[in-house]
Formats: sequence, C-alpha cells, structure tokens
Amino acid sequence: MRLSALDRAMLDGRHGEATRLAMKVVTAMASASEASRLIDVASAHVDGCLYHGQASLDFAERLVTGGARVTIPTTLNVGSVDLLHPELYRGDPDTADRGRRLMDLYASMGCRPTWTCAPYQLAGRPSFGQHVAWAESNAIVFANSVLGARTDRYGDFIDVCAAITGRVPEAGLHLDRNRAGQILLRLNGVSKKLLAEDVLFPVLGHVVGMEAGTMVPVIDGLPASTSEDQLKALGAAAASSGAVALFHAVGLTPEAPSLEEAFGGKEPRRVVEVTPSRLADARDALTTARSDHLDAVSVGTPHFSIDEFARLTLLLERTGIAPGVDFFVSTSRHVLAEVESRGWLDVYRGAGVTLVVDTCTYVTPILNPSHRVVMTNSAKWAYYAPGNVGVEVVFGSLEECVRSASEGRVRRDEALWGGD
Amino acid sequence: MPRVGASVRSCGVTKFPFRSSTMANGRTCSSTVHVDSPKALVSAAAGACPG
Repeated sequence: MRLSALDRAMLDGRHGEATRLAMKVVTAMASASEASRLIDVASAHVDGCLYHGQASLDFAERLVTGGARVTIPTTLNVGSVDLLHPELYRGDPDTADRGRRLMDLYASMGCRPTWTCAPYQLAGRPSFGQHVAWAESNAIVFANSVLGARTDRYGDFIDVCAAITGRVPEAGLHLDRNRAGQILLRLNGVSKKLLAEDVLFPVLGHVVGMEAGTMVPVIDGLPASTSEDQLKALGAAAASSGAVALFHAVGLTPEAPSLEEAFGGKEPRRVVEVTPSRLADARDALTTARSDHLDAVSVGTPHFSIDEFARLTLLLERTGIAPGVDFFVSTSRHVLAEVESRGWLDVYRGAGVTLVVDTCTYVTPILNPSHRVVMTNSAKWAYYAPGNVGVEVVFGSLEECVRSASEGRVRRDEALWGGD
Repeated sequence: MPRVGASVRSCGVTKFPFRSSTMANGRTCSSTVHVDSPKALVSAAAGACPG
C-alpha cells in the first residue's frame, strides 16, 4: 500500500498518540479491503457515540487521553441519552451515566454535538461526488444514493479514526466500479394511489433490502414527485433488512438519469418484479402484533424532518390522542428548534406528544416498560425494536398511526394494498 | 426531485441549540456544551443528572 508522507508521519506517532492509533486502524482497514492507497475525506459522521458497553468508553477514553482531535468537519449520531430531556430515560442510571459520558468524550474531540441519525438534514451536507466517511446505515445510504456523495459503510471506531486522520482506504463505494447497479427491482402493477403515499417507501425499502442484500439495487418505476423524506424512508428500510449502502432510483437519484446509466452499461444480475402482493406481504412482515391492542406510537426513525413535522402538526390539530396511549416523535435538536420557531410546540403539548431528541426510542429505554404493543411508520423501527426493546410492533402510515392513537386501537387501511 | 426538509436552508452553518422550552430542568444535562479540558473528562466523575 502506498502511504503519503503525511500518512507515514501520522502512523509514526509524529502527530500524537491518538492520531497514531487512528492511522493504525485506518491502514489495517485498508489492508483488509485491499486498498492500494488512502484518500482524503471532506467530512465524517460518527456513530461510535452510542454506548454499547465498556469497549465504547475504553476506545474513546484512550483517544482522548492521547490528545485526539478531529481534523475534518464531523457530526455525531445519536447517543444513549436525550440530553435536553434526560428525565425520559427509564433504564439503569449507571448505564445512562456511561452513555452521557461517552457523548461528552466524542464532543470533546471536536465533533459537532448534532446527535442525529439524519445529518443530511443539516446545512453543509456533502456535495455530489465528494468523498466522506459516514457511519449510521441510513445516513450512509442517503449520502451515496440521494446526494451522490461517496462513502463506504463505516461503523463504530473506524468512523472516528477517519475523522481524526481525514483519511480512508480507497475502496468500496469510493470507487466508480463499485457504484453501478447490480440488481433491478421493477415496480409492476402498483396503483397510482399507493405510489403517491409515503407508506409505500419504507415497505418498498424492506423488499429492496431483502432482495439486494449487499448488492447495489436499481429501482425503476417511482414517480417524479418522490420526495427526499420518502427516499430517506426507503433507504433506511433497505439498510435494515439488507446491507444496502447505495441504491439508484431511475430518473430520481443523481447517478441514475436512465436505466442504462444506473447499471453502468451492464446487464442486471437479477430482475425482481415488485407487485402489489409482494408489497402487501412485506407490509405484513413488518408487523408482529396479532390484535388491535395499542400502547404507544413511535415515529421519527430516522429523525423526523421539518416537513414531516408539518404534516403531523396538521394531523394532530384535527384530533387528540386517546388516554393510555403514548406518542413519541424522535428528532434532532435543530429540527426541534425549528418546530419551536414555527410555533407548533403548543400542538404537541396539547396532544401530550413526547418529543425525543439526541437519541431514538429503539436504542435506549424511553418507552414505558409496561407497554407491549407499539405502532410506527418506520420500517427500520419495526425491524429493530422487537429485538432491541422487546415490544410487539405494528407498521402503518403516519396517518394510520395518528388515527390509531386517537381511537386507542390499531386502525389501518387494508384497501390501499391492492393493485390497479 | 423536490428538495425538501431542513436541508434546504441556505445558510452555511447550522447552530445547535442547547436549550429548549421543552426542557424540564431548564438546563442541559451534560458537560457537552461547555467542555474546557477534554482530557479531564476521562478522569472526571460522572455527573449526577436524573437518569
């Protein structure tokens, strides 16, 4: 592997012990990925700030003790604790302290205390073709697919090492040859009504992830009206049921102006027809509960955008939430500030909605432990929450979530999932 | 494709609010917002915020 003079200086410890350790990790990663050299990255998004155990703290403490500072603009993913509303944490206090301590350690390295899984909602997001080092699967797939930036799938520890050194292996999705589509998913017979609904996108993403696995999927047949929030939901779902880090949506995403260009002139390895029945099956697979009982609703995975708040605000202005049903919205601090500045907070206070920032309801104990059935509009939340926080889950649209919360029992529109 | 959401803000820098009227205690429960000595964090005792 060819290392630059600066790479060698970092590896030799001439930039401090923490930088030496970080470069050691980066070069080891480069060897594993058979990269011939390292490249610069313009920014990083770090996921290691979510507490997973003592190793999380050990690594961060070693870096801080060694004088670690990030050298490129670096945002932080969610942590274990909502630092603005710490009273929401219902778990072990010692674990909360450790989680909070880990968040502080990462901020002390010069990372921006953004605490969001949706860094693409912040100003200054990556530009087309720009190399970045992002962790958090939904952020990775959004950066690659919707923004056309280039990041491989970085995870805990390697993410902050990239942020400290500003370097990553020239491998994976940083390379042109790995960005061409490999599998085609063609929407077939899906009604115009369903194509216009937000709820299609997480369900389609679930199918995409199941079919694509680690391949780069190309999706053909989405309407021109598709929004960023819909692609956010699609990507987050595909990165949960599968290991999708990049997808192309023909006519929508920047590297797929046409089907041919999405595949780089090659033929797809496989073609999957996505029919109404396939989507209905996927929608059903995202639900584990078997009755209409409802304890809580959780939306905002990935973090709710301001446009999603606009829609929810309108819905909650028309209806209340039934006694005994909790309603959570996970979002970032800066979107919460925008909600406040637009004067919408009174709607949420009036409805009794709990706004969660800095973290998410499926990675940390915030739900009432006596609550067993939770409804969500997020395929990612539906995929992970049963295992992470031990609840039964019901998947539905945002409108269905609000209607169900209002009536105190699960209500869904079954007719939506038929064909033309 | 429409560019929607907070990402359309044209300003180059996003400021991260450390207060909100939604806060119960009126203050953030972390030293995150006022870190003076990063290394001191390693040896500092954990804070006594409500868990």
